[in-house]
Amino acid sequence: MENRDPENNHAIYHYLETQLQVFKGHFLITQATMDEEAIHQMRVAIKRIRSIRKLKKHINFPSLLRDEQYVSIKALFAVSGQIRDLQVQRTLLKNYVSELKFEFGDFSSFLDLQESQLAVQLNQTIQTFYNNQFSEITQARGGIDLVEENTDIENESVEFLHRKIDKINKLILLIERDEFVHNLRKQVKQLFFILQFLKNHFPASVFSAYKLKALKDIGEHLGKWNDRDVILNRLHEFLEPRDDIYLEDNAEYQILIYCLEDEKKQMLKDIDLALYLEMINLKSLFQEDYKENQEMETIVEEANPIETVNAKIIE
Amino acid sequence: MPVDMENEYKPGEHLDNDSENGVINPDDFILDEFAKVEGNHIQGPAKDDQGTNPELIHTADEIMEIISQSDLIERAKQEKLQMVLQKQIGIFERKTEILDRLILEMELIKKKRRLAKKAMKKAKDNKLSKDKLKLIKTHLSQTTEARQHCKQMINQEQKNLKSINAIINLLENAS
Repeated sequence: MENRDPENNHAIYHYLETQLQVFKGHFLITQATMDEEAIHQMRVAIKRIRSIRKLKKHINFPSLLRDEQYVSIKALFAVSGQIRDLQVQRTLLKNYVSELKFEFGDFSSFLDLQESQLAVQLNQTIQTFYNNQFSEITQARGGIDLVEENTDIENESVEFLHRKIDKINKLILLIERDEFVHNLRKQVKQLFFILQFLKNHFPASVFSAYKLKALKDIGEHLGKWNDRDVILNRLHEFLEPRDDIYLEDNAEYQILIYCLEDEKKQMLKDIDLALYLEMINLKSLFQEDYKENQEMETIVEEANPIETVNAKIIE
Repeated sequence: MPVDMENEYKPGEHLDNDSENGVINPDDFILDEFAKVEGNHIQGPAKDDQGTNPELIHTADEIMEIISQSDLIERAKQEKLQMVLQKQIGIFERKTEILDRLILEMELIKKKRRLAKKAMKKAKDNKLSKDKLKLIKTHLSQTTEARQHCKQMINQEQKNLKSINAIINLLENAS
């Protein structure tokens, strides 16, 4: 996997720049209309930026974003995440209203109130973000020239991915507990974004052979699990202050709880096995490539041992 | 006077007898002195026809030692009893806590069961799908099972408490 072309190293910057542009576009729409899809797409762009940021921490190349800009993006991500969750909950509730034939009127009003409060909070965050940070982001393009020519993003990414896979494998063992499923979902999403980036920008590499669909499907299942978990928590938050008489008179909420819990189980069914197999698949792909590299190095060494040793010493 | 009282030692008696002969039996003298100190009438050793049996006579030191040993044994017995009693009281307290928790758990299960029943009624009224009814039924049977299990545990704990209580009463009476 010989890949020392500086242009390849610039790929990461082109990718980040593209994501920043995508983010900027959706940010402006969100600012103007609070459109549901714009908020979602803005968050997806941030997730991609954050995934690459994780890779960057491992490889250590100059960043397009200053630390304080990144902190602001994270704050925006958190607030927009809460509003996004509420929007997802509304959609889910709508589906349950039609499926279970109950109105769930009180819960719906509760969500309305929360959404309006969060919208105000998001507006304030957007305003602060726009005034302080956003105008400067696109000026950071000069970072591309700072990439060292011997930085081998492709090779170094493999090591990073190995660590990510190990982390996911450990989390699979803890899938019975909700807090670990949340972490697993995030790890799978990050892995997906990084692989997507590497596959698109290094078409001749080992990553190109990998089919992303299985991982995408697993990620979607985990996403659906998360949607149900979030609405379930919100529902408990809504029901907690109510007395027993309210709960018994409105037993449809209990039916909703049963359905959500059941669907959560369904979403995780066999996912541990599927994910485990996918990780083996991914790891074996990298290992084959690693073996090939080792073999190639051995052939070169055997052909010209002195030069190879000298080269290693110089290195 | 009964036959077995014939050889009873009488304080002062031997002194008269012995002083007549001019000889004082030292063991009899000690016993006599001991009787004076204690203010009790101490039964002397069995005497043969001649009035003495030195092999069977305890010395004052030996008696004191026996009394002292009995005290120690009695004290140790009481300590042991108290220890066992305290241990049983500790177990009783712990078991009471467990029982309280089980009773709370039972209340929660009953509440869940009531809710599940109401949910089932609403589901039937709204003519929900078979899948949904089955789901609610599963929860309902789970609460039934949980209630039975909890009830068994409560009964068992109550029995345990009763037994421990009986042991505590017994130990308190013995101490």
